[in-house]
Amino acid sequence: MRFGVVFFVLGYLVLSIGITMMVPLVVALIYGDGDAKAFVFSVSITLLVGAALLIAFRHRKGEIRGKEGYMIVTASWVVMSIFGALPFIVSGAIPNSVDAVFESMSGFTTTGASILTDIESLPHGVLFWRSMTHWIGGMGIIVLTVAVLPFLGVGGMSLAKAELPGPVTDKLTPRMVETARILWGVYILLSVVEAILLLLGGMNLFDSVCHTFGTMATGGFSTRNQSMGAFESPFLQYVVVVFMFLAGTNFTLHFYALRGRIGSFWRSPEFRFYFVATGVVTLMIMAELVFAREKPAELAFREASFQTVSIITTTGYATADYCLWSALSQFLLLSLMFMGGMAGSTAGGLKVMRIQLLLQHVRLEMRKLLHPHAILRVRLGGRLVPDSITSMVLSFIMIYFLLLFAGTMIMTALGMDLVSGGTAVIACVSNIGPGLGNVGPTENFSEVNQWGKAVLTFMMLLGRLELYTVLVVFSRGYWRA
Amino acid sequence: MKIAILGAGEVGFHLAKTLAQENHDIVVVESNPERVALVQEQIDCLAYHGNATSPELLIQAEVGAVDTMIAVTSVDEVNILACTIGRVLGAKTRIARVRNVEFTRRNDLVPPSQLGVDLFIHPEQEAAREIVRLLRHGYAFEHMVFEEGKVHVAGVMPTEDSPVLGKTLAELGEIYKEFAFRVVAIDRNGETISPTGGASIELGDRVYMVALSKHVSKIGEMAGIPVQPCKNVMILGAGLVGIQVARDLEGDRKCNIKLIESSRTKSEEAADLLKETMVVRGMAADVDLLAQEGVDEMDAFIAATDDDEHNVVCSLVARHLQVPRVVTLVSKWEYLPIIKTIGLEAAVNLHRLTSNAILKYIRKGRQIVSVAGTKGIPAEAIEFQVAETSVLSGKRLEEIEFPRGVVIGAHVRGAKVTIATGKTELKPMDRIILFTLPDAVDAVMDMFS
Repeated sequence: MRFGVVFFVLGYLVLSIGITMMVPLVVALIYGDGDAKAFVFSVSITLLVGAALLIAFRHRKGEIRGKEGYMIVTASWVVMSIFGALPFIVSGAIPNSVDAVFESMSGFTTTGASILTDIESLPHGVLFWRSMTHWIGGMGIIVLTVAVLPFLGVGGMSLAKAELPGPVTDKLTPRMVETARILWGVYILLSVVEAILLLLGGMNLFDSVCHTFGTMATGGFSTRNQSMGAFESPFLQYVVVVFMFLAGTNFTLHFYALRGRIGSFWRSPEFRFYFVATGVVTLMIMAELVFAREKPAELAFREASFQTVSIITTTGYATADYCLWSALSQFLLLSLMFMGGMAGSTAGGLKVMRIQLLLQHVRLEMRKLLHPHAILRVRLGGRLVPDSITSMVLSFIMIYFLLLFAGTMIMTALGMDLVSGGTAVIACVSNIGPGLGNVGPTENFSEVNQWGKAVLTFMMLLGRLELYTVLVVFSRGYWRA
Repeated sequence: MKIAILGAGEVGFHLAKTLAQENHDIVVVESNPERVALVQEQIDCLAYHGNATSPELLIQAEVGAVDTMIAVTSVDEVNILACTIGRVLGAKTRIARVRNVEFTRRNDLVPPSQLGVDLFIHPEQEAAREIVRLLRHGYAFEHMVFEEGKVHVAGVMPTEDSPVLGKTLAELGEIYKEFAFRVVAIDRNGETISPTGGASIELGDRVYMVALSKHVSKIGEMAGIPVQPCKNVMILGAGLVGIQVARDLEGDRKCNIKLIESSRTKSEEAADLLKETMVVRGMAADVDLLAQEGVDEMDAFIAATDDDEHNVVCSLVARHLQVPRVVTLVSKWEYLPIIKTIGLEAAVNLHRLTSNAILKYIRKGRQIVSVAGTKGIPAEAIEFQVAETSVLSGKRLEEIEFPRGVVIGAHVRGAKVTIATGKTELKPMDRIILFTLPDAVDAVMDMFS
């Protein structure tokens, strides 16, 4: 481990956070809610620390090797959340630092779990920053750094791979720099389109930009206490549904579609699974709303599709309180919480691809019982999946559930009930936001114990970086020579 | 530039790594899944697993869109077939490595253009040429030529008898006034020292010098190594390299050549092919045999069997018997630094030669005339052309601020070659041969483009 390299790269990241923080500073100056001073202070501190790290370790830069890569990725997300929390603390919006880091981590990891009870009373700059953290964290700040500052070289490739979700990372072009630029380009393009549509639908500029951030990153922070429910226009709600769905789709497919290969969507087995799962759950919930609760068909479809897409893409926006729905509907949503969106999207959760590989593997194991001498291979859409990836996926799923057990045990030990505690952990590891019970869509995380918040903050980090990257840094073997 | 590399063996891997660092878009096709994984891990490029002659795979890898396609798998026929397919798909330039000389020899029946190959790289032939050059310039452990042999670059290790030991470069300039030369790099214990006027030459240094062809023997004199003609040469191994070296040397009438080969068929084939050479069958590692054949009377000893370890041991034997000139052929890249440590200075590496030849061809642009990598130090010799519109034209060299790690060697105007000085003025279409450390390559390229 060469800590010099780690600190040098961290310097760049801190500096880039400082620069992005200037955007909410401008917003604060425009609205003049009195939070501009807090941003000036936060920006200066962040830039100072970043520059100091860069200067102090300028002689230490060099090729990043495997071990340092894990440390850089994990540390940069922790550091990012700490500096991102500065505006909340300094402006007095969230005076408690544990709460502020929770909120900031929840933003960057696109979880969208909040400890704030009255959002609308906050100044515009703080609200904007809160939503913007989603957008930065959605596609990943390291991927952005690789795209803008290609100095990281081959090391940058492994760093970006650690940040992009999914068991395998498709490179679209020979060079990682190009791939990173394409991903960010598609992300920005979709965001611009959504913001324009929301504006056309009657939202003001501020709300439409903030909600675009929340949607495209599958985050879930809103500017309203009632989340997206505050906007009753069906058009606005449908726009958000569509873009949440798109954000939960592999961005590689968007790139191919933009190049005119629309058929790539349906040719991807992962997309078909994702689409069908969303459709089936939407129709089942809609049936309940129409027949048992006698809602008109359009409203039922809108509520069902919004909640379903919001949960499967791990966004966490809500237009209805699903805690009031039947146990079956709640269970369906709960199972979608585990699954999450597609690999290579901004969504969290286990990812559709891992579930498919798991199902395939189970099918092959059963076939092996019938034909003990057969040589069987896991395939996805005709493509051979190496055994090494299958075993990575299997152990990933196992660690994921172990974490859920451990997390739920801690949360219940801290006095939460089983449903609230369990779903709070799921909602954080899968980067969704709201769970069920006391942490449901109309509630928030403010009542959770301080220690509980710290544990949940760590869970969000684990979920966003897909377990291995963070866990390996905390393993004993990592610190041995 | 988009480049497809077929085959990620030693050469393919090294090429992919070097070219990816120069920001080219690289696609690699390799049949061994373990090599594919290694490429994906260490090189920023796209790697495909499969056979390099599969049209389906080549289409998937978008080989049709590449500027250059390099076929360096271990099989000649695969490389040629891949180039043929590449031409159909639309790859602009196609390079194939082949070992079989028959393909590269002048051949009217099947000319290379019909096979779709623009450039044949023949590592064994390149190796033979380098070995012969090293024999002719026996004082150098490394030797390169530019401008059709007018400019020579030689790496020498001054001996205890050398008159230049302890002298600074400024002093040397005074002593050897009538002889135009320039020291371009000094390597001391693996560290490259920038050759300023105040730097001195010590025992054990590896010194790289540029000189014109008429003065080149003076370099040997400066290093304290007497220049001897190679009359008696012993070659070990009648492989492709050994036979080629023997053939090249046969052109020199004064040479007595002995070729030792253990395999019956190979030695008989060699005897059929070579008119002037005496072919002896026997175990190469057999010291008695070497002694019987008079190894101690030899002026030069060349170990060129297919077995690296064998070559190294036999070279050590020859060195022990005080043969003045020993050249060792090694094919494993990772052996090169070790060879240096055990005192076998003149080593020729097939893979390095191959990738050098390919890099030279790829980098060749309007401004870059040629490139050569040195094996002992991480420096490169690059020949640039001054463009018509270049800001450099009309300036004297002393007025131009070159990046650190760059030393100007020779200056070429038309047919006139000189060793450059600060007073040399650049004109459009002039060519400059300079030496640069890897860090400065990009900056130098920018200056001339």
